[in-house]
Amino acid sequence: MAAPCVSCCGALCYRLFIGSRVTLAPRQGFWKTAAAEFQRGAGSQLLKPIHTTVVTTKKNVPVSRHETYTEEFIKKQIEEFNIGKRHLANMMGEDPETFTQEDIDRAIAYLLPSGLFEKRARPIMKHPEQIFPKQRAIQWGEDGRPFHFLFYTGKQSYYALMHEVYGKVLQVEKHQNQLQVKGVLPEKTEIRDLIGSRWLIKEELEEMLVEKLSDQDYTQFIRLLEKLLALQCGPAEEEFVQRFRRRVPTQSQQQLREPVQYDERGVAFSACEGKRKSARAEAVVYEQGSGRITVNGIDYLLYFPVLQDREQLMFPFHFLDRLGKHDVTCTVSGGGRSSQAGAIRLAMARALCSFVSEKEVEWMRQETTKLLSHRSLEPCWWADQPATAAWLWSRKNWDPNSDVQERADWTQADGCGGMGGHENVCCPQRHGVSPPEHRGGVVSATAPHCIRAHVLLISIRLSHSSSQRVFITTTDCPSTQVMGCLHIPVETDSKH
Amino acid sequence: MAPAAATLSRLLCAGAWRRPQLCATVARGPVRPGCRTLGSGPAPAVSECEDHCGVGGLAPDVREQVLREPLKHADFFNVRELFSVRSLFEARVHLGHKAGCRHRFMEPYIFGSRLNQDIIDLEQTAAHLQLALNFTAHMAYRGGVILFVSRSRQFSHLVESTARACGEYAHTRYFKGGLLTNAGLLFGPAVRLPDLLIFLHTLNNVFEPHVAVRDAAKMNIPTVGVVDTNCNPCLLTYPVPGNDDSPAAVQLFCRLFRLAVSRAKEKRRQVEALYRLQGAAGQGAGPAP
Repeated sequence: MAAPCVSCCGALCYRLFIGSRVTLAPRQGFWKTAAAEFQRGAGSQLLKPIHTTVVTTKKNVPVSRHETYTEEFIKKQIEEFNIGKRHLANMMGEDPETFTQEDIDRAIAYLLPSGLFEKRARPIMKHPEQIFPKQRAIQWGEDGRPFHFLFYTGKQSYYALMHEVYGKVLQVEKHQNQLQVKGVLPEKTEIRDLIGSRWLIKEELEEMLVEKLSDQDYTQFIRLLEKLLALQCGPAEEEFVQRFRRRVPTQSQQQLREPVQYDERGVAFSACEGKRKSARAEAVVYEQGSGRITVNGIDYLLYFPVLQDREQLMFPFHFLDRLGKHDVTCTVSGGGRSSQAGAIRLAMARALCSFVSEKEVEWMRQETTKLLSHRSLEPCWWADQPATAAWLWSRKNWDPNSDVQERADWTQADGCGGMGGHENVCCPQRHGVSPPEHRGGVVSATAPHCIRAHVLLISIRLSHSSSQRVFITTTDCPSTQVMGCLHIPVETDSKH
Repeated sequence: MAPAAATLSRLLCAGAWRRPQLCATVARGPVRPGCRTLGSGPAPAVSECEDHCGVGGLAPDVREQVLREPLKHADFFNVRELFSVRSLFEARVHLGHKAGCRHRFMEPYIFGSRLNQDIIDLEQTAAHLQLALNFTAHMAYRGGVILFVSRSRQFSHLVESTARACGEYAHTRYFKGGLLTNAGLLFGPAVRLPDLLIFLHTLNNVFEPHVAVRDAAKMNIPTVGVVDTNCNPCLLTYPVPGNDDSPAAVQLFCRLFRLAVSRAKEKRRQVEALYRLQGAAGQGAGPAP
């Protein structure tokens, strides 16, 4: 507990240091052992053999060396930052007095352009408070007396918070008892807007308190807050509780509604685009009509001879009970008949949103699967892969709605298909949204538990399924060792 | 009050416990009560060592006088007036546990048993409580770090509030293993350990003696503790036999300790102010007496 904040960067640098030290030492036997370990499928992490030989694992040594920054050091960094800011302003020909952080970012991006994908790997110039992790200052005064009354518990901020919340609970209970005695107990009000917000996660709480917590601590804290909420507290306590809730951007709030346009005859219409797989469609839905649908100038009955496709076209109207009330003109290209039908369906559904009330849009969004979105479920491509528990677990438990978008799980699995003699480590990486334009470039993959390396995409193997498998090698290793296999779950419309 | 006085004198003269030394004189040279630092922390000079109040420019001999002054009186802070046997009785301090829960070493403190429930002898309690409060006040006067310890969830908030109110420290949470014995690793090399531990509840949640009792004894930290009939009073420096389960009793004890500490700190401020004034007056009067 001597230095509670172990920064990710620091730990990474430390490991990188170890890693590079070992790779420079040409110890053939060592690599053979490592290779043997991999081929045995020990299930251990890549770094483990390196780690144990270099660092003596003494449990009781306080973790102090790299991660503690003294006050003078931070002060010096802040001074240097301010001087550097003024120099930068001069370089850019701007006024040093009114040079804001956005200007700094723009200037750095201009002077030191970087095509790296990983934003954290690009050159940054920020205030040292944002770069160096928050440290705990010395907790006691000159006479040795600690400042905080719960210092001797070890987790002073956490316990102080618990104390405070429990104090509020007691206060509210006392108040309610008094009201009950008088006989003026207020009726139970509905739960306020807890929808659209979530409790902050353990990491966020740790960051807030600058302290390490255990899972039980976190659970206890959330339970106590829920107890406080359940007691019908007043507005002050509600505000206090809201400090520990975070907004969740709900999907339904993001549906854009196309504005209704009017053509030369004064008829209202709405135009929208839609896509499915590789088909692109644009639909123009007229407010008045009799249910005629024209696709590429051809009547839909002739364009889609198969009933299934016509059912797809019918669905948005059927859902809103507006069959035969709208006229549609659409153009479509690409894909097969089924995907074209799906693309037109999406376009029509989106266009209909502008004629329909908000509630119905909400209803559409919630009731139907993906009526208003072109994403679809990824098919089960892992069914024919050799099974390894760790890899499958992390792959199947990918949560597309999770906030942590760029966390990678590096687990080792042997046998990712025959790779011909490479020591291959299959490492699934989670990407919330895969950017197609970054393929074939230099991609920097950061993962908390392994070496930060600039990876070069050497090949892209198209598989029969919609996910792309990309092999990564690291430029730091002397041998072209395949470091990992990036699985990017792409959208099903990708052509590349 | 004769039996109480007799008990008090008996306790004070009990040589085996070395208590008269602790009460009467300040001779604790090598142990250094004021600065329990561990490891490679800077060891301050002896004169500063015994006193950790904000001295603010007092001469060393004046400071020594300030520290010696309370030790010349038996009850410098007049803690006796804070309570009476009557008030202890009304707060239900005399109620112990059932006879089956009785701890062997608590037998001297038990007055008797009524309907199988042990009754604690309040005369002895009063005497012990007076000693404990006196000691606490002295420690607070000398700027010692006082840690209130309790592991009862029912009174955790009360104990923490009490500690906060008198400007001292509290620990009513899970007691980590090496907190006192390995504090250099847990907190930092130059951490100052508590100078006094006050136990409002000597047992933890599974009715075993609190680890801090043993650890404080290991680290030579004096302890004051409220011991119920199922507790072990052995390792405590100043045990106070009394009820630790009723809210009234616990509130009374918290109030008493808080008043003792506050009084002592207030007294310290007054005495220092007095000596500072005297010093200024002495200088103003000039070298001639």
